[in-house]
Amino acid sequence: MIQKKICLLGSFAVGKTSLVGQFVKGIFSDEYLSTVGVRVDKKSMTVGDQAVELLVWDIHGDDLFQRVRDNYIRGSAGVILVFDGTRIETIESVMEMHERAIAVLDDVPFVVFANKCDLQSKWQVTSDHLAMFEKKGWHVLQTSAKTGESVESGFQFLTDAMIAKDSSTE
Amino acid sequence: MSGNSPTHSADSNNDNNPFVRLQEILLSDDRQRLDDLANRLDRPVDDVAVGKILPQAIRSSEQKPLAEALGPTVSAAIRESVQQDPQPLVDAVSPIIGPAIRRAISQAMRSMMQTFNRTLEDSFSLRGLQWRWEAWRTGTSFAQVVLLHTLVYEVDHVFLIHGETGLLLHHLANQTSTAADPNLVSGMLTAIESFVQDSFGAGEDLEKMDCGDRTVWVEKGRKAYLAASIYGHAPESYRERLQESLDQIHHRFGGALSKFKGDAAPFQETEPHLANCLSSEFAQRKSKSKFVPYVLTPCLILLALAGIGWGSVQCLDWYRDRYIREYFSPPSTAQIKLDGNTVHLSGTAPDPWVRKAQRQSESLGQQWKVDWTELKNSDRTWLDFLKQLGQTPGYVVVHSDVLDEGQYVIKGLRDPLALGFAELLAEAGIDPNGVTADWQPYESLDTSLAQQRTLRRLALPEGVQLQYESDGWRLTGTAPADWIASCETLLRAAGVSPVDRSELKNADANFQALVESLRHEPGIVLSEARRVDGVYRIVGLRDPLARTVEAASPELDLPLPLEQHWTPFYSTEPDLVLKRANEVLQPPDGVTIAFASGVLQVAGEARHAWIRRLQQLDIMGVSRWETDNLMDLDQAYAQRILEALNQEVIVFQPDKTEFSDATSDQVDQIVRRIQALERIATGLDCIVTIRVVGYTSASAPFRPEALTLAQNRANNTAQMLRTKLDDTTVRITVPQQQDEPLVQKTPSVRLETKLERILTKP
Ligand SMILES: Nc1nc2c(ncn2[C@@H]2O[C@H](COP(=O)(O)OP(=O)(O)OP(=O)(O)O)[C@@H](O)[C@H]2O)c(=O)[nH]1
Ligand SMILES: [Mg+2]
Repeated sequence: MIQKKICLLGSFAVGKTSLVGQFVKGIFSDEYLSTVGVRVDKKSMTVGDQAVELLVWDIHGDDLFQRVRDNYIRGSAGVILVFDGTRIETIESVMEMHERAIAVLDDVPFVVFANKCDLQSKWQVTSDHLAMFEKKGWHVLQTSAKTGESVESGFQFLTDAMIAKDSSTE
Repeated sequence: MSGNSPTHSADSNNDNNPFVRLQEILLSDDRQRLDDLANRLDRPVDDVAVGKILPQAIRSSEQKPLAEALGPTVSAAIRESVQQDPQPLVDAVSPIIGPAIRRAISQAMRSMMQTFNRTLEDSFSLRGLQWRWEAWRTGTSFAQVVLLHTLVYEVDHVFLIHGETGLLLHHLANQTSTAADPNLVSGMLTAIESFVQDSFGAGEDLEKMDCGDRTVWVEKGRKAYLAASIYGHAPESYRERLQESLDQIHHRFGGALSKFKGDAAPFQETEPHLANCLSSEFAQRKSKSKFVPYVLTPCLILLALAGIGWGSVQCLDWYRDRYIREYFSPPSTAQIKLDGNTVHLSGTAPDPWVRKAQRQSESLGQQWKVDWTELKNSDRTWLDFLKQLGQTPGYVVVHSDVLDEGQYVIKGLRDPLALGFAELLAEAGIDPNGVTADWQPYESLDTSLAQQRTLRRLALPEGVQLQYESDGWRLTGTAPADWIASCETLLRAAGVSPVDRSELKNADANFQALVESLRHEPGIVLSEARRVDGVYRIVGLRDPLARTVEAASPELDLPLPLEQHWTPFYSTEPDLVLKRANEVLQPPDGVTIAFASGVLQVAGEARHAWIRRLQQLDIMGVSRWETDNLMDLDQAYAQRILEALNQEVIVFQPDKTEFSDATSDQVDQIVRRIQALERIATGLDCIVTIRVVGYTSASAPFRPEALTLAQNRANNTAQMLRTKLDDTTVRITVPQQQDEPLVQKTPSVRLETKLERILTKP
């Protein structure tokens, strides 16, 4: 068995905690309890016949009052950048967190979640945005912590990428 | 460029020279060797060759000169390397230096501990007891020393955690304990550790952490750290054990730690090192049970001694009391009371003390009971308060802490519009002196506060309400026309848009309407009505009984701000005069009053007292009273009784002057009636006068004794009545009959009753 630390980064209230809740326990709540500091959760996955245990660091949202600390990010083998597809301005925070992450972590796999895709009427993500990500070569998934859409597969994608990276550097 | 030397190429240009060719034939071998040599000399130093011989050369050279020669270069090289990246050097050196330093320190610590231990052993002796007394006298806590006796602890978990990732490398627990998932524990520990480092600056490592009744000790190494969860009080020397184990782990597994990518399997082998931190302290735990006799022994000795003397019970109690007090050593906010073998704790105390005390109470011995019910855990109150505060709009707690002295510290953001912090504290029953608060102002997005703020900024004129409802902003109330005209722009500038103002009334128009209705309002005389400096002003006279302005125009939204200046006066409007009369007279049921052209008509029936008051009243606006149709109830009643009494005939037997048996009921009733009359009479300012008249029978009028008989009958009756009635209010007389007796059908007595007005004294 192999363990990996991953972390979720993004602006506040984009749904990081909800995504972890959906992924680890399969539950979702409409209530918003802002995370203070960090919560660590665990989930077992498999890649091929390799058992992988993810230690998921759900880090508080980055905002003016609470900047995300580099120390929380350090040591992550993979990163999930989350923004809220109904508040398109949260994309900016994704860009910023990406820079912070690569400064601390060198070159680790990451994936972008455009979350809350169940809220179609408020959805603001356009094909332009997607094209922009594609041009950067980033993998973007439209997820919903509420319905679970693309959540499992998003985490799986990241896990695969982390294991693939391990075997390529060995 | 090694192969072609310039010489050689010059030669090949002279290929055809026969002399040269001869030279070549004769000397070719030597020539070759010469060329090789020249080549070798021309070439720069052969580093490979030097590399081969250098170690050998150093080995065979004399040590001292060589060291002298190399010294400066080596130190320069080290300096350079440290400047570029100190880590490799630190990695290399610390396994050697770390233990060395620690060993030196621990040596010093150990010798100190030994002296301490000796002191404790001595406490059995007489000197030890004296020492206790001294501790008490000087006020040093005995319990602090007792705590040292009880250095009992148990390590139930040891975690080896990878420093950078926070992933668990290995974990060991003693058999009895259960814990949360060690993987999660190590993740959270690392998160906390990162937090501490970030918050208090690099170099500040988390060393100890209180978690419930456990303490977690963290020992940090370069690449990994150890965390031990400890129940009880571990001695400082335990930290050395952690350090040693961690050093050994770094030493043996350094490579694996650097390469760690998430596979913890290689660290299975660290188990002996972790076990070293876990198991060996078990033996000490037994000393826990020793504790009670240990401390109690001197007490028992004293108890026994004291028990010899009769009357020393008080002293015993004092000793016990003192002992328990010192044993728990409560903070100044908590009180201890001893009642038999029950220890009552009350007041408030911080959580660590409560837990410590709870643990201690288990070691106190079977005979003791501890009553916790009255003790309030101040930390818990504080935590509840924090939780509450977290849900209070306009508060964001960023940091909170409890200082050693029990002072609570709270920092954060507070919206100036939020509820007062002092009030919140008071509500939670927390002493504000125990709290240091540092609030920075901020603007909360909480809807209720955000709305308040918007409203404040807008400085809406009085009378205007701005509400946010599900479908947008809505203006209600009244506002001056000029404000209404400009409000759209004003509100849009404040971000309040769109606004529905269909329900907003024009205050100017409303003012006009109000003034108009007041002009017709009875009891109100307007002298001035206008808008001055944004204030609607009305001045005039107002009868105190007139309707208020609000009541006079109930369907109108009053223009605001409205200033009223009224001078009181008595209006002669019929409505108001009547109102005033009602107010003054308070007519009882059965009385109606009416007012027309100066005449107040009072009709119906009323008690005498009320009617009498009428005559003393003067009501503004009433020029004449008319009371013809007003019946005096008391008088009417009195009249009825008089009539009844005056018809009574008390019949006597012929020739008898005593009452016959047949009339006794009649006489009783007569007495009762007179008594009732008497009562009414006093209310009417009257007295009752009764003439008692005797009669003879018509059949014997002329008998000489008839006159005497009649007279005696009357006298007897009067006599009887006088004994039963109050002679100040009932006057009873018997007329002296002269010439001829009065004649009736039967011999009888009749009463002539009247009311007679007495003059009341002024
Ligand atoms: N409809 C919908 N709501 C979501 C979804 N994900 C999260 N939410 C809601 O968005 C709010 C914020 O979610 P959180 O998961 O607490 O957000 P967060 O990123 O952890 O926030 P911080 O801890 O403050 O940084 C909550 O009310 C969630 O119920 C989603 O996929 N769909
Ligand atoms: Mg969260």
